[in-house]
Amino acid sequence: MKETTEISGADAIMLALQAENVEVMFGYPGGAIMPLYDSMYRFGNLRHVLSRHEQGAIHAAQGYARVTGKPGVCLTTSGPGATNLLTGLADAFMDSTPLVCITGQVNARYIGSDAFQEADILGLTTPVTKWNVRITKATDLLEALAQGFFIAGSGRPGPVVIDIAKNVFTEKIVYDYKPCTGISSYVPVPEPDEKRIRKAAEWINQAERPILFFGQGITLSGASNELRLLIEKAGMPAASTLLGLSALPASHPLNMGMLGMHGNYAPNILSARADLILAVGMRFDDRVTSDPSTFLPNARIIHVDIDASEHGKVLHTHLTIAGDARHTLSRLLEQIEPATKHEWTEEFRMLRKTEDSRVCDDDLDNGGEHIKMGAIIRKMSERFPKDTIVVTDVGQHQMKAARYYPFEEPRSFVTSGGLGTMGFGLPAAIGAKIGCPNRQVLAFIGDGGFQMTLQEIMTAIQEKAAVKIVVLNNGFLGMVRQWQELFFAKRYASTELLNPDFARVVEAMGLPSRRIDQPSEVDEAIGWLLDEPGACFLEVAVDPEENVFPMVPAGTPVSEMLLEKSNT
Amino acid sequence: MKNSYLVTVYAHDRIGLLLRVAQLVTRKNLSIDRLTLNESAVPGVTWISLVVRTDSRTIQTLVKQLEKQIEVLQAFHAEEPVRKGQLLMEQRTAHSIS
Repeated sequence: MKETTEISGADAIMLALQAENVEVMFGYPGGAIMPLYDSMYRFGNLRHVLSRHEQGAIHAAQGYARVTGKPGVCLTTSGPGATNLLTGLADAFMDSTPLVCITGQVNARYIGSDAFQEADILGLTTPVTKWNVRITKATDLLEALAQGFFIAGSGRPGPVVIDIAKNVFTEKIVYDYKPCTGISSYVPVPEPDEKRIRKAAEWINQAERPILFFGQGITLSGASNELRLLIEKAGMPAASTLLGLSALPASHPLNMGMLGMHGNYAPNILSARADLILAVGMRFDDRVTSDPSTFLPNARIIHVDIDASEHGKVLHTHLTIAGDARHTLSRLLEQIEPATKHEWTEEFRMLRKTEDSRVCDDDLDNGGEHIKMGAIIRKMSERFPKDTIVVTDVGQHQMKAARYYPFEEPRSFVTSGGLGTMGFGLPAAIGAKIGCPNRQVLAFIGDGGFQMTLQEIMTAIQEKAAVKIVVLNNGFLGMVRQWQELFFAKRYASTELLNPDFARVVEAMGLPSRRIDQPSEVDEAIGWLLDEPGACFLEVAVDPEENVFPMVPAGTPVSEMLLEKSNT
Repeated sequence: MKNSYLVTVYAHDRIGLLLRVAQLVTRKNLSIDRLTLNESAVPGVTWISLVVRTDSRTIQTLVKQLEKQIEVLQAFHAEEPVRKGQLLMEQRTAHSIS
């Protein structure tokens, strides 16, 4: 009787994935994981997206996770298949993206013998995972899968690797899968301390020049509404990190823009005058703080984060609250007094005008000799639907998109923040489109990053993922070139790229493709992108030596942000 | 100012635990001066004790990051008491082998 109730490890994984409501997996088959792919084929009810490189698979899983909020599932084989995940794991670890990566491993009896396609995946992935585990016998499989999904998606999300020896896929077990609801040594969501919340509310009520800094924690905990209510009640201006963008509508009058190296002028300059900072779901990255010892010289700092190990990591803060952003903000909301800070918010508006006249007006002017990145990005934002998901790669175009695409809906901006992974954009956009098929997905990618993962165009075609791909081609690794121009006396060491005719390459792969290089062609090209029913590709030849300003040179105080190239 | 800190970790025992602990120490660019690992009084729970030299801010972050690891039940630190006898012995040994 017992035999009839037992199934193979591979079949058990398929059933468990369905029990976790997995709709789609991103992966690439190979020797050690073949039994699982065979099971998937026989089940036939789970969508699998075949990438062209495992890095493409994991970035697609990240894109999917970032727009849906559900863990992205990634499958690869042992050895090189699994090592090719490392960049995506490190990226997801930095940006708190929930992933469950199942990697095949050589048969348990060969582990440690340098077997064909063997790599120490447990060892290699330990520094870049929230949790990892190696399974060598099928009886350990289901508990590990359940824990993996629970850990990836709960608390501060993160990537999980489950490394499964090949024999496990064929061993028989009784299928008794139970989703995990808790682990004794793991507290995913700490309960915020009431006394600290009272203290924070007191400080907010006393503050004359407060600013709220928000990060991706708002998006992850679904706290957009609480954030808006709190800043409106306290009359408190707010500023976002790169990953916090889209958590508060850009059009909100108290949204003062983005912090950091290429953020907006007003929040950077005025952070030095603030007397109170309420930082929620952000981790004071060095791109935000520049030199931490000069950051926020006059402010009491309250740091709310679900991850207590972020408290005091970079900055000395005056009050820390370990808790979920939504829960903490709603408790704070009850205790703060209604206030208005007209003079203080007016200071932001004045500096915004300075930034507009000295930087943005020129960046957004489409009347010059060359197409400008900012101008075409802004024009696209005016014609694409409000809930469009914008995905970027890394570099100048990324900063221009962050600065000039006004995000109005939560989860509408997907970018590689902490790790700054070139090659992220295209596969992440494919994953985002698969996660949200009813929203437009617009990918802005530089010519450098595009060539790191351009083979994934074929994944978009095979999967009918209708991504609008825009390559902003300046013929340079633009951000590095900008630094060379500003800090290395224009010695352009290895930043000029000899590029192919991108539009023809992509057309040969099978996508409708166009190339434009004149400002007068921009409007019509945007119309074409919108009218194309499926995926399509637009190469835009942009000003080769355009820079991203304002800028905080690394290590200088953020209040010394430059609006243009300094003469010194 | 740098001090010697004694860090104690209680965690569910499993393959890769010591690696995860050691990796966090390495991430902070610290080396482990002394290390002891034992099964605790509770079956399945390992007790790790290690000594690192660093400043008070780094040790606090390190301990919080250790505490955050899924299998870690508890992590804490204390300034290590200087054991004069042991120190003297170590100096003599160092002298005799140099």
